[in-house]
Amino acid sequence: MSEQMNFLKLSTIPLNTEQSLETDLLEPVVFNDGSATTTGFVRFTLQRKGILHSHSKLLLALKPPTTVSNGFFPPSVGIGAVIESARLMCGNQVINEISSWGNFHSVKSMMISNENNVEREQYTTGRGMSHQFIYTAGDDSQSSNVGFENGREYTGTALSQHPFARMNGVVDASGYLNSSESPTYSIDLSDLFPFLKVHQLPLAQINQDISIELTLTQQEENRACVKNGVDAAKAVYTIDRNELKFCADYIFWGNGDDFQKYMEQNRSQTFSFVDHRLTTTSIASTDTSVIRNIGMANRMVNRIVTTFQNDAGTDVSILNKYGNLAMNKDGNSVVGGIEYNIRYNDRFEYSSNVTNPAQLFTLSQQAEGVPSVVREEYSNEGDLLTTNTYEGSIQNADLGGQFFFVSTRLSAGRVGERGIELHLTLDSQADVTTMRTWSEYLRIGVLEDGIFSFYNA
Amino acid sequence: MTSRTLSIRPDNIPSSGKVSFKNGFPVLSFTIQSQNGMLDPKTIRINGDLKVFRDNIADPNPPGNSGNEPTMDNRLGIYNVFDQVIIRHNKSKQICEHIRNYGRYMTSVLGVGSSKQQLMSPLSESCLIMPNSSAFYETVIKNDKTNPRKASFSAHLSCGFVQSGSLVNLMENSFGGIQCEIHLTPDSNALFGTGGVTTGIGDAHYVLSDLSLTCEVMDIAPEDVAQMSSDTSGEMDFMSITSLYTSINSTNAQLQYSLGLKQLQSVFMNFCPSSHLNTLTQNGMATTYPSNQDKTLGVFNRIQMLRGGVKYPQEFDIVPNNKLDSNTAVVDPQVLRMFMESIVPESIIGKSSMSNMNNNRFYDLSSDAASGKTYLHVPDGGALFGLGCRYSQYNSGQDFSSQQWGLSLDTSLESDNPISVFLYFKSVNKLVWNSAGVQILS
Repeated sequence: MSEQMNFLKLSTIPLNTEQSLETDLLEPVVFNDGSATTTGFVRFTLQRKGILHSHSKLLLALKPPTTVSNGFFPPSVGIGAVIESARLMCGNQVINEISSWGNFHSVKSMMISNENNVEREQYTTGRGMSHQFIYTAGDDSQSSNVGFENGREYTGTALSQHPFARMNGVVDASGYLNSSESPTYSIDLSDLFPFLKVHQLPLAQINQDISIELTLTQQEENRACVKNGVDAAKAVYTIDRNELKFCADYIFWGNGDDFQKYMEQNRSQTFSFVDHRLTTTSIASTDTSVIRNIGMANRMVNRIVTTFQNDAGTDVSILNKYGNLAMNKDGNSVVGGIEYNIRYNDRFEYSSNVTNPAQLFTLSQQAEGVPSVVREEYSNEGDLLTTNTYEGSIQNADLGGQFFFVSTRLSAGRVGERGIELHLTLDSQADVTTMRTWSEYLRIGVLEDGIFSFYNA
Repeated sequence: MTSRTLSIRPDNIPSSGKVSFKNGFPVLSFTIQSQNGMLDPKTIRINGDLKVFRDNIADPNPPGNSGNEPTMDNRLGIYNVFDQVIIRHNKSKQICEHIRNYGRYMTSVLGVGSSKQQLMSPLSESCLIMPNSSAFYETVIKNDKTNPRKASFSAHLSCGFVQSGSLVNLMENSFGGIQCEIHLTPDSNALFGTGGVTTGIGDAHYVLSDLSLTCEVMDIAPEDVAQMSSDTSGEMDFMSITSLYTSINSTNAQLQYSLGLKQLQSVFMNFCPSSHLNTLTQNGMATTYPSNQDKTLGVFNRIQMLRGGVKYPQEFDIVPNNKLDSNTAVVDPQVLRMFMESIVPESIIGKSSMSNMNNNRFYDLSSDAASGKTYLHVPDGGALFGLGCRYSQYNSGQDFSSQQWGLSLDTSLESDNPISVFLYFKSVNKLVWNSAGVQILS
């Protein structure tokens, strides 16, 4: 075995190295489903063996109440709507923690291509944002509108979810519990903790308990959506305890004692990784000028993501509370303005405030990736979205201006003592309640003789 | 390394800040001045707002709901107004790269290299693209005089220098600044009437406002300034486009060029009736089949790619499927594959909007919507026809420096209807620079 081989970096492993996988279905060691108005809590503790595969999956399903016959997950986040926050612990130290994870996930989910959503994600994670032209009857070439696409045909002006995705809590005449047929979806471990997209955890080397702690959203209203005009609002969904599992894949490299030798040769390891710090601000549409210090003094901050939400979003809608609000559009389809800048280290990131929404889109694209959202969804500009319905909710009302975010790669190095200031001039939508900013910053992990320690870079 | 985002205003805009070809501003120019920094050309974006007007009175009227309104090619979005893109070395004003007929280049590149969902989603926000002519008109072009809406764009420049991946040393005694020059498309070629006539839109024009070029420049640390400033000469390789124009008007069309290119990667071309150029009655950006005078489609019965007069790289005639069955409406798959390969190599093509909906022979070249066959209403973004040939498998290219490039076409163009051919040759160029200027070695 090569002295330089590092089993945590795939590129250093020879192609002929033997690899074996072991999969465990772990039950939670702590489970509290919460209540209608309080959050729940789940903890999984991982076994200390092998290397934890970053694409291990959390499996989840919901049981709808008997009053709901057509429950569905918001297509922008899917099953992620159930997770309020995610925390990865090593002993009693926090490795990685993301607050308002569902909202964060709604931004990250925009980077998945529409084709991938409709062909794969809606079956695996419940996410399914995709688009198609809506043609008028008798015309197969000219269309003025775009609508939601999930692979099914519209019935008139109505699009329904797939039968497999439907959450039906109604007990039929024979006493059969339809809720037992609710779909089970998965969440990728590296979606819960994004630093695992580039790192793997050598569990066998760690002499502390590694646990995944998840805060669940309240049972009422925010876990899933209901069909508009059919089901009662404020539905209470509970976790299907039989389906809640963590599917952990453990990787073992080499044959014989290769892996043991590797661990002995690498008793001390240091790596850097990113964590996300959330700053939440309550705002109203009357707050037209916002200057907010989001902290992060003396940190190495790679980028920040800012979104605006309506936390009072209801389940009688397509996106629940997981929309990201763009600026206000008036009755004449004129979209309100935004001026955006950030200031740190005694300088503004942009020499003049960015007012062009397409430029904000491009900046966000350069920082995060390519969002697969149409123009009216992102900036609210252009009356493109259809008035057709999805599960009874009108699409242009529920999707227009609901996929807006601004992300900036910070270019001036370590943030100084005054932290980062957001400078915004806004013409917000009437129902905006919250501004969230996640700052992605660097941390260092040191693993020495099986004990992890962490500090900020 | 720290960096800065620059926002640069055009060199030459009028005091109103509005740029319009019709009103005397055909060239847009941005200068990234020399400074202690390294430019990442990939981050260059042209930002602004687009507005279209149906007349040119003092307070012009925007397009509305009449039967004949000005619009643009929906697959191009903001690229409709970019006719030529020129990158200059600022000190010497010598040209590093120059792409002519940029709009027609981009329509083939965007059509082949982007999926319908990509055209509909991210490119609709950044470049005002929409793969449906009706949706494009309703959301980008149509406006209200009393309550005007914005059509904001932030477009990348697809050209070799920008996409080379090399950083440019902007220091004064190194490469120095660059100038990015965009020649705007004449209104009569960028716009066309939805009804195929000029009635009411004779003075239709577009206006750009709030224009800026943004880019990212990496700072040079004080301790590195001396070393970087000694970087007084150098070279960079990039994939460049050589654009040529010709026309054909016979059943036996022969195209021959002495390219002088050593590493030719591929060639592709698209077609347009010459009568469709620079007129408000037709879409001069559509990439259709050639056509006869009666607006019916012309076809190719035999295609030969030539080098030095000899068939190369295909040592055989390409005989499309219409030769065997003239009634078939399906485009020959070999011709189609060669065209796609010439733009994006098969090994890396991930997504494309090319489909049998936008590449068939079901349409004609009339602009009469009532006919039900107009090329203006071809689904999935519009007609996406072209010919092409890839010469390189591993980016090594083929040497055409001493032998002529040629194309021999046996066509069904039997009427007098000149067809414009826009040719784009992709080759590896070497840009050599020093304090005196730049030189392109092909």
